[in-house]
Amino acid sequence: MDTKKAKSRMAKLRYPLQSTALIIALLAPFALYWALSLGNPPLAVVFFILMVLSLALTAFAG
Amino acid sequence: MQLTLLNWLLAFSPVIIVLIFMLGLHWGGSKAGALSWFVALLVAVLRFGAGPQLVAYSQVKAVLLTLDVLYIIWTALLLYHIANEAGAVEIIGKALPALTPDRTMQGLLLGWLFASFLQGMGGFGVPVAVAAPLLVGLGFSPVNAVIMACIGHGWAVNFGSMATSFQTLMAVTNLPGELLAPDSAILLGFSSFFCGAVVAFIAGGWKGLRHNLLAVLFLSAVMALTQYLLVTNGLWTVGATGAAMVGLLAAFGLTRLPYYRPAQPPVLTSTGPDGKPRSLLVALSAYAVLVVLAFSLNLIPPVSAFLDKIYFTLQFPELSTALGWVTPAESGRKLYLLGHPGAILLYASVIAYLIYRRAGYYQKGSLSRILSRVGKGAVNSSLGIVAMVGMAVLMSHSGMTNILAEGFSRSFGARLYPLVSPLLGALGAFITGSNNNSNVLFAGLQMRTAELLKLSVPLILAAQTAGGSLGSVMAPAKVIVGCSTVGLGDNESAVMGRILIYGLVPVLAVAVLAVILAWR
Repeated sequence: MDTKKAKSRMAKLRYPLQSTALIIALLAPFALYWALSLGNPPLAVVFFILMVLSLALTAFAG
Repeated sequence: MQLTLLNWLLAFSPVIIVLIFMLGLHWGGSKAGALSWFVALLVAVLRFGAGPQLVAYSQVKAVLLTLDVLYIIWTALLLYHIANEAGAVEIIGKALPALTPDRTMQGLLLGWLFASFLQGMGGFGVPVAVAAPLLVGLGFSPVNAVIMACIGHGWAVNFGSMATSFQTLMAVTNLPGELLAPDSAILLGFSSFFCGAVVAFIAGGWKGLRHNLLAVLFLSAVMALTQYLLVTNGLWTVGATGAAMVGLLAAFGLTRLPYYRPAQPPVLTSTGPDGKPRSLLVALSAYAVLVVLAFSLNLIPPVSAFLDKIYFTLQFPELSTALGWVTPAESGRKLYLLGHPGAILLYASVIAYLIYRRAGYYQKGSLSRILSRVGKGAVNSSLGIVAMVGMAVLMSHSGMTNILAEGFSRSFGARLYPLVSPLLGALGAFITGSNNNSNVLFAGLQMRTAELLKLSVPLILAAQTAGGSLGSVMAPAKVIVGCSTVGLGDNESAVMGRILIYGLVPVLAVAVLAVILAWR
């Protein structure tokens, strides 16, 4: 019963999670490019981590 | 980096991961793509000497390539749902079989020509989802209906969906469409005959095939020639659409012959869900608008020059791995905001929506339903493309693709490789469910292998994308879509076994032709 509930909750969450992952995956690389152009490695690391997180979210909710 | 078995296997590991998880564990493309991206990242950094700068810039390049493809996917789906919500797709599908009582020709009209037309306009599983139930309605068995709808449109995938897969081929290889289009059109045009012949065989057995062989030959020649002329004149976005439309018109002409003609003239109107009459001509208007726009915006130089003025790109520095693999400094993919095929689809979508709305074909809330279906249909596949393009660009920038290509070139040699090339493309599409993803995965590898073996790069890339086009229709993902629409939800294996046998016919035909062309 609990497994069914969890599956149904996941199905509801899937689309918003995927949409969030897609938006981050498409925007983070541009922010990363901007940070690299500024010569700001810490900021670049932040945006790279965001990009990696979006792919982790894709692996989870894809 | 030296070519050793370990290095080759490590370079191949992201692709193997996609294969295992999609085929063995039935994961979706986005999930498996994301996992393989992490594997590619680990291998690139730990074994191939990719540094943080290389990884970061390669992913920015990848997202530019991704946007180039997503622009088309989203707007192609928008146009399809605008037409579908108006009932246009159903009207066209019902009108076609009324043209003739000949069963094999009915199968060809729906399973080959109409499915190819739908692939040109929508793609992404739409041809199977729409044509298979219509074939069942005509009395074909559900298994046969799915196989006919799948195999029938295999030749139209590469230049279908506004040539998304071909656009990816150009983006990944950085080669112009003018160079890649002729060979691709020849191989795919040739395969259209085999796709039609397989559909005729399934629809009417040997007798049906024999009786309709001349018709299949004539229609495939018409479509192959139309597609060749369109794509070699820069109109690859409407290559399959235009060819299938001309094929449908030619078939309409054929059904006027005494052999095919019905006793009663066909009725070219239908009723919508609201009971109001709907015209076939108005139903076709969305696609007519698209063709007119694509032709006029591409063929009138001042217009195309004006639209191509606004574009977006980024500059990238030279990138190298610790082991010495160098990617020269270059501009990223240019994204033409107004003149892009995706923009043309957007203009066509807006005009088509206004036409259908004025004709009273929409019910309350239709716009929100259209937008919601586009979003739900596109998000998951978009994520798959993001992940797989990211992985492929990382592989090429870290020298992994080069190691793979060296391995293939040493194993097969120049004489045999053209035979292997379409099979590799088909395998990639079978695994990932998409010609597009197959091109992302293997186009760089095929290009590098062709260079190493001194083979014609456009021919090998044409074999790759033709194999991908024909292989994508056998993919479990598409078969599942087809099965779910004809009530075969739990019996996909009955279709899979037969579809692999029939689907290999056009792939092998392309492989043989590629060998002959390579030996010219």
